[in-house]
Amino acid sequence: MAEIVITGLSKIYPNGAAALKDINLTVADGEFLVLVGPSGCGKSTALRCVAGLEQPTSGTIALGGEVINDLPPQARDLAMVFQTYALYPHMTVFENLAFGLKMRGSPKAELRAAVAVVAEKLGLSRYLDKKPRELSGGERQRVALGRAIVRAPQAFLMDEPLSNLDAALRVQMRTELLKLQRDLQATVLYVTHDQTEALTMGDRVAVLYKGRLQQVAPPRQLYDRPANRMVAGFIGSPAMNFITVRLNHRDHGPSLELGGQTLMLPEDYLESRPGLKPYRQKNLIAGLRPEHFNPAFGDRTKAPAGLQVRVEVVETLGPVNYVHFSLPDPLAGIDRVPFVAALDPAVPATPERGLNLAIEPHRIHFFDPQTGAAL
Amino acid sequence: MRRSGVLVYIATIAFILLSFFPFFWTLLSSFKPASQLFQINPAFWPQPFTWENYRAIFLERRFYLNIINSIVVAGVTTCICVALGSLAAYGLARLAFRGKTLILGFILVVSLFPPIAIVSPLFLMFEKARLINTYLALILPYLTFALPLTVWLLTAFFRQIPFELEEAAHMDGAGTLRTFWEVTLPLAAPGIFTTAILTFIYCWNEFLFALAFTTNDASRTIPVAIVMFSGYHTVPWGQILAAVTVVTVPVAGLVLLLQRRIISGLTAGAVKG
Repeated sequence: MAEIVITGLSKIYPNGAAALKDINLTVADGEFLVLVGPSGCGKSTALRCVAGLEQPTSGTIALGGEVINDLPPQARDLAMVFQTYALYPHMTVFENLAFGLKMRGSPKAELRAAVAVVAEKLGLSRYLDKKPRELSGGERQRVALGRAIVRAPQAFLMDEPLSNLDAALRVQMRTELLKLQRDLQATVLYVTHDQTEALTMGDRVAVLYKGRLQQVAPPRQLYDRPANRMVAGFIGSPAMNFITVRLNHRDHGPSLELGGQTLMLPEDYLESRPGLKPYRQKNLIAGLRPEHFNPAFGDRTKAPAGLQVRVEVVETLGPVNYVHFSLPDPLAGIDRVPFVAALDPAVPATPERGLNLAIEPHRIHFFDPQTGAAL
Repeated sequence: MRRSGVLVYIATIAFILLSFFPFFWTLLSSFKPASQLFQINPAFWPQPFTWENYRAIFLERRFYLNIINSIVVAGVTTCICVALGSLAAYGLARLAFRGKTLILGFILVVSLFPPIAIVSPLFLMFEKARLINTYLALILPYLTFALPLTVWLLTAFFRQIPFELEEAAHMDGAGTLRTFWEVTLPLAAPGIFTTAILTFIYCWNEFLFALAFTTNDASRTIPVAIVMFSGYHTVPWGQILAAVTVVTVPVAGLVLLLQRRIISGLTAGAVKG
């Protein structure tokens, strides 16, 4: 296995549209790096540039210290798993698995042994004589994985390999794929649009938006300390709530003007969040994660920061209720901003009734209203 | 449900009988002696049964030469057509380049050109080039008229093959030609067989160029040779019928043989799922 180093990668199409802008990314040896972003953000283009299926406009791609920009895909020693699996329909499972080795001219006996080992590992031994069309979605998925593994390439590229599976199988394959990756100590560059997949699978996650890399960090850090509003809104489900707030600082301490209400903040709040100091008496964007709302009971003075809301819809998921409400955003001149709070089902939330919510002040995220950068 | 099933059955049988009868009558009549062919009340079965017509075309007229000519001309044309056509069609289906539509349109226009308009200039050219009465005199014009069809049909077939399969083959270490040979071509097989059959039949049946560019019995192809059976005073119907029977059988056989390949190829090509 080897590391992949992407330096200054840009891809500009002849019509002037930029798919990728100055991407710098390193996938360490044995690392599972997930490239995530909304559809059309350029993540597949980036993967295809690494694969050699597309030519970057500028920048270099190195595999194990060797620049591979000028090598055609077949000379790069990378294996790719496609979203549609792209199994050869006219070949049996055995032939599909063996194709890569056959192309590299491996001796017959060696090839047979390698295929047998991989088929055993993936539970495909019974299907070796079948054609892809006789297999279920999950089995085809395994064949696609097996075809990549059997060659023992320098690194794996995966383009949304689980997105064609049904929900239950996808969750199962997530763990299986991870186990396999740990076993092989494989370097994996994994592309997905599913932030849950990204958070659960990645050693590190790279968030791509409009062709630019927004943040590369371990999942926990991405969730706790998003670099900007885009990352904050993309990571987490349901998505973070955003609203324009005003940071006031009067004699009785700092407070937030939020949705026409005032949230008291601890006295030393600005000392603990020095990034906020320049924004005193100014507007900025607050981000509140749905799961950080708590019910505030009775005494509002005791609650760290209380909000009075009117419940609109309650979604029951079992372990948690999604309580939908809205707040006015007078600072931005918007009548209603939709909000979601993820609350314990024991909290009595009824549509058309009022509810007192609290949020820990230190869990509020702040973003610059112009740049969207986290503060 | 059941009644419509019976109706379909009856209609199919009626259709088969109707379309098969002329062939069947040709077959029967080819075994009849000349006297019986011109009987006022035609007899159904040959009486007496005779191989005379077949003996005459093969031993007196050396009809096997014409069959060989036809096989060579149609076979060579088909092979070249499929080889060139599949390469051109692959490029047209896969590569993005300027003026692709224009090229496809231009190719189509070539096949719309009326053959009769180019017979005389071609004859003059071929005579100068000493090609008259050679296989090349037929293969060249057949190629010009069959290739456009080949390219169009195969382009459509290649477009149906998911590009990701070829990308997967590249990632697996196969070069461009290897990918074409191992992945694309097997998947395009039904299309290629269909195209091959159509091209072969076109060449097998072609009359105008064959009539113009061959001048002696030994270099003629089947359709022209059969027409040339007729003399000033007599039309040897028995021999014509025998010849027609002889040349229909291989074509029908070829179609049936390749048809099976087409069907199996179609199911093997199923990618969706």
